[in-house]
This record gives sequence, structure tokens and C-alpha cells, in this order.
Amino acid sequence: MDDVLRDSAERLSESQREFVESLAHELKTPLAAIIGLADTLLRKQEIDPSTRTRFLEKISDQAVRLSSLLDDLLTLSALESSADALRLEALDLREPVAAALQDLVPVAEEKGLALKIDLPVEPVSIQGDAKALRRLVGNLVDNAIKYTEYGGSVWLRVSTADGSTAIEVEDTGVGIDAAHQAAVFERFFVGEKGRSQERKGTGLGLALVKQIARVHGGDVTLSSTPGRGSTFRVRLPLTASSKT
Amino acid sequence: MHQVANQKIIVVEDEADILEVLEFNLAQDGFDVVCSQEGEKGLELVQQEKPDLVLLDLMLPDLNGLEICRRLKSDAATQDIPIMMVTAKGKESDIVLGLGLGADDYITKPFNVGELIARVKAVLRRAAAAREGAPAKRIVCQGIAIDADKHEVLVDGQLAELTVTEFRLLHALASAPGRVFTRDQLMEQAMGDEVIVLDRNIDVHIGSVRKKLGRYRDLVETVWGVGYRFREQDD
Repeated sequence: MDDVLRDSAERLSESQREFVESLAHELKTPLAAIIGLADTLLRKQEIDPSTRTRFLEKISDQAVRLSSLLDDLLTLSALESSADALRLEALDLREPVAAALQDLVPVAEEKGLALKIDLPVEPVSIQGDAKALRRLVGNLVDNAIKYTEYGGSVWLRVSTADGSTAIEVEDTGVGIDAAHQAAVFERFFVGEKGRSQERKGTGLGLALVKQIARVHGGDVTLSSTPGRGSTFRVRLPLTASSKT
Repeated sequence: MHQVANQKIIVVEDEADILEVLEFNLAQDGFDVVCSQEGEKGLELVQQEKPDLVLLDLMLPDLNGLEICRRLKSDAATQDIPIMMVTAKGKESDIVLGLGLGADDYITKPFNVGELIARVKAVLRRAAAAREGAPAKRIVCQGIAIDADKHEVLVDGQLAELTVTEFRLLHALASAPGRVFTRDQLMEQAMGDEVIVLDRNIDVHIGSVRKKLGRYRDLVETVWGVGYRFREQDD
């Protein structure tokens, strides 16, 4: 028994250590940029005004990146530790989905991607937290856009069947190796080196999706072919009145 | 005005903002700077352009910085180009590995720009000194005089009695002020034909060297988790 407990404690402390190391790395990268840019401005008093402005904008962007990372981290921590982290109430799933898309349609357009949306005509009634669901959809579509090159397509489909609703986000992007598919839902997944840094993610987006789906009584699955694209599928229970 | 005129530095760093900070500051200090955000391309650039120094991020999306370091240091055409590792990892194991592969120095993110530039210049100075030939026969620093021919060390004019191993360690460190030596590298320096030094003994020997340096003991600095270096004197 002691051995089992000790093993379990060692595994926990190993995973805590890995988490702290990953977090330190994710914090250090924007911090290094902020410190480097600020140092440069302080060191070079005669710097030209346009460079000065560009450096200040970069400092601001990196500070926002740090702030988003901490927001994601706190939300994730709340979701993992408490069943009451979200306020579930009756809502039409199409509303948070539409709200998330509002922000992302221009991003897809700017990148030259076709964003195709397929929502049910009838309301999709679930017990949910609108803000969290907006975030869930936003993270999935944002990822699809990030990992799909110019000229590709991203689909968002919401459907209902057998007492549950499915949110599917499909893309024609770079895809994910079979070996890494389970790990993408881990915090700070770095299976594919540099994936997160290269695309400016916080490394927490899919971990949040998984926890938000779980707190809603649902789950998230992934199917993907490297080079062809990925499909993330979130299944959530419908409220009794809207079950088909 | 600058001694660095026309010296070329290749910077391999995937984070765009950090790359710009490095490029901007090095260019302001008179260096000719070439940049790459990718490892493979950075490696090719170094092979083609033969710069005076490479600033190399260890965590790159395509080709790992340690692998780039290994390839450059194992190729006769590029092995003498100094490499300074820049890394977000505080992992001493990576630093020790990189120094073992032949990297000349390292700096961890976040870094102070002024310190980075000073370290780059120090690495270039050491590289220039190494090109000029064998280590100096006589090294004088503060109140310490190290004479390689006589195999003796004077501390404030008084003879300090160092063992052969201690002398070799001190001479190696003092010949390259500012350079961090791993324990493995110091062991190589300390091993003569007749002397066998175990890794863990390096710490004991260094302790003994410090004791014999008296009030100058702090000149031999511990770099936690990595090794030792001889403190560089201000210009």
C-alpha cells in the first residue's frame, strides 16, 4: 500500500514539476521580448520615433499575450478544481456559437480561408454557460484558422441527434500525428516542437475546451490526418424538451 | 569608432520580437547581422557565410539548436566559429550539453540587452585571442600572477603552492576569463599523462585553488549547475 501511495505521489510531483517547467517557459518567452524591447528603448535614447512606436506596440502585444495566458490558466484551474466553476442555465447553443464567430469571421477572411457555417434552423436548447461555450467554440475555430494555410477551408457544424448536440470544427490544415492526438488536450502540449510558440498560442486552448465540455456533461474527440486536416467534435447533452 | 566594424553575426531565433531586439541592438553596436527564424535555414546561412559568431536559440520549430551546434562543431569548415546559445530553458542539462558540444557561452531568457552585447563581445575577444596562438605564458590579474613556464602562482607576490592539477585548472580558467567550463571540460584540462582526476574531485580541487588564492578566491566563480569560470575584468 505504501508503495502504491509513494508511486502515486511521485507521479503527481513529476507531473507538477513538468507543469511548472512548461509554465515557466511559456512565461519567459513573452517576458524576454518585453524586457528586451524595454531595455532597448532605455539603452538607445536617440532611437527614431517610428521604431520607438513599433517597439512600444510590441511590448503592449506581448503584455496582452501574458495576460491571456494567465486568464486561461486561472480559468482552467477553476474548471479543474470546482464543479461550480460555471453557471449552467437554459440557453440556445446557437447564440454563443454566433457570438464566437463574430470575432473570427474577419480573421478567416484576412487569412484567405473559406469559413463555412452550418447551424440548425431550430433552437438548440442546452444547460450551459454562454461565456464558456463562446470560449470553447472560439478556441476550436481559432485553432483551425491558425493551423490552416491560405486558400484552405474551415467548417463549423452544429447538429442534434439522440439526445445530444454536436459541435464539429473541421479544417483542411496541417493535421496532427496519431501519436500526438491524445496529448493535444494536455496543458502546454509541446509534442510537435514549437507548434504553440510558432502560432502564438498559449498552449492551454484545447485543455480549456476539454474541461468546459466536461463540466457541461459532454466530451471532445479528435480525428486527424497529417497533411489533410483535423476534425474536433464536442458532444453536449440536450435538455429534455429539445431532445429529438 | 567600433572595434566590431564588419564583424558578422548570424542570429537564429524563432520568436520574431526577440529576433528583432537582437538584430536591432547588434546592428546599433556596429555588427553586420543576418537573421533566420528557422534552424535548417540558419545552419545553411552559417555554412555559407562563415560569420564571426552565431547566436543560437536552442528551441527551434524545425531543427533543434543543440543539433545545429553539434553539426557546426563537428565540421572542420565551421568548428572555429564561436556559438553563443540563447535559450528560454533554465535547464542546466541543456547548457552543459551545449557547452560539451563546443558552444562557447550561453545566456538565458529573459536577458538584459547590455549584458548580452557585453557577452557577445567577450566571446569574440576570446575567439580572437585563441586565433593568435597558445594561451599566454604569463597571466596577471589583480594580485595574482600565473606563470606557465615556471609553473608557479604568486598571490600578492607570495608563492602559492598549488598541486599540478590545481595549477592546470587555474591556468585553464584564467586563460579564458568569462568562459564557463563544465566539469568535464575542466577534467580534460586537468588530466596530464600522469594525473587521473575523477569528475566529483573537480569541486574539491577548485575549493583548494580558491583557498590558496586567499582574498582573490572570488575570481573563480561557480556557475550553478553548469561549472566554473574565471571572473572577467571590467574593460
